[in-house]
Amino acid sequence: MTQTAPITILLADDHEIYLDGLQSMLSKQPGLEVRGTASNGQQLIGLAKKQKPDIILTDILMPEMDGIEATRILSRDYPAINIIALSVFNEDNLIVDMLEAGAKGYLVKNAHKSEILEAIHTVHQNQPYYCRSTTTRLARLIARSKFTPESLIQVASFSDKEKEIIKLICEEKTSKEIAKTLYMGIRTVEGYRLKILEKMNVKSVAGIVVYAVKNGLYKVE
Amino acid sequence: MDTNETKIYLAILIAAGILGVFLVFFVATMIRHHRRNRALYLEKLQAEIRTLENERKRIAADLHDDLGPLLSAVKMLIGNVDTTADEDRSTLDKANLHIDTILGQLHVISNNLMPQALIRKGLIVAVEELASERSDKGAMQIGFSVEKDVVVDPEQGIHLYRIIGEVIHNAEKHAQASRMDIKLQASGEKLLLSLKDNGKGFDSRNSEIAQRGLGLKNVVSRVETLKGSLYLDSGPEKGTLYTIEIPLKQSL
Repeated sequence: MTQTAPITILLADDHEIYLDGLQSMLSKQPGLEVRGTASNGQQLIGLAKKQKPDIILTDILMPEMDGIEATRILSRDYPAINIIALSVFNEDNLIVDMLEAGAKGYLVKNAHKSEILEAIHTVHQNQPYYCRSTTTRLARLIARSKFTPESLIQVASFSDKEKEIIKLICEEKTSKEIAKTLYMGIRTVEGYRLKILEKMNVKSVAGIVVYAVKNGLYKVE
Repeated sequence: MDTNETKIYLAILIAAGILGVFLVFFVATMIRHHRRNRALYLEKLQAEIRTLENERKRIAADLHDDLGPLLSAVKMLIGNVDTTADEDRSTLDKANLHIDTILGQLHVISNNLMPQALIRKGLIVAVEELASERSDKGAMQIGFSVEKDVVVDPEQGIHLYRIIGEVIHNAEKHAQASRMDIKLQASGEKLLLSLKDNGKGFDSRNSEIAQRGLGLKNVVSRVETLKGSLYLDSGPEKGTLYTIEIPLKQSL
């Protein structure tokens, strides 16, 4: 792949050693360029104004101004910047607040390097990114929240069989259970699953749940 | 009538009168003392609980806001080590796994001490979270409904959250209930919290209530601090209904 301009990134976190670690990890990656770091929301906004980065990775709880407020301001003033929230724990409410404020994705801070990179590239494509550790409960909360990036609006149409499988996935059924319920082979179910992921243009079960609920394919009681 | 007899009657009357006055005075003093003691007791209880909650909040914040991020940072640093040696790789993987476990435990501990949602979002969101989490993990399904526009003062919210936690714990542990419905509503100047389970129930006159011990006692203390009343309706095989009524404190 011929690399054009690198993806420019800003980082914000009030813990310096995390910031250092993240920065040194990212700067080793080809195609990424860390343009600066901030230790609170206020600094981050100032920096973003100057640098106009492609991506911002920001902590949620920070002194002076937290990540939620900063995200709200940034996504209003600079909608082209895609923001990823960094959460220490998988905290449902903080994450939902960040997404509602305008973040496109989130990661838990102990996520693996490969996942952090995946998140950056996904969000750079303007797609939402849900951390791999997302629980179905969080996915339902996100689905019910105000978070609706354009890419979540339904474009594909689904067959009856696909719809049935989507519903079962939203009910936390495994492929094995789905196969049993629908009298199909596991392989066939896996095939459908891949097709659904592709049609929805999402990468995870969380993505399926959010898409399905947002577009009325599944109703949460 | 004999004058002697009259005298005796008079003497008895006077004596009874004096005794009566003493008695009234005595009882009045007793009541006053009791009231004062009770007020002091409530004040002490309130102070104790407040200290406890503040301490919990502080420890939870230390764990959550400081130790958690630092551990994540250590993990990030370890992740930056590039090594091709298999043995080193597996050591690093193990270390990472341990850090994840510690982080998970840290989250559970800090959440038990003081849920973030309770501090940031208040009682209703925190109970929604608690109910859905316990329903997912435990054997008991918990439903939670709130009347629209109920606003709970933050301090009252902490008490009510602890009460709800305790009652859920009781229903799971002692009553083996499979279902609980929690309702929160405001009626006039009062806030009404009801928790109903379908568990074994107990005879409220029975000593079983004593066995439930500290848990229920904590609920009672909390209700007292809130200057509210607690009604318990339970019987063997009937399930248990807790109704808690507290004066609505207007925040703001």
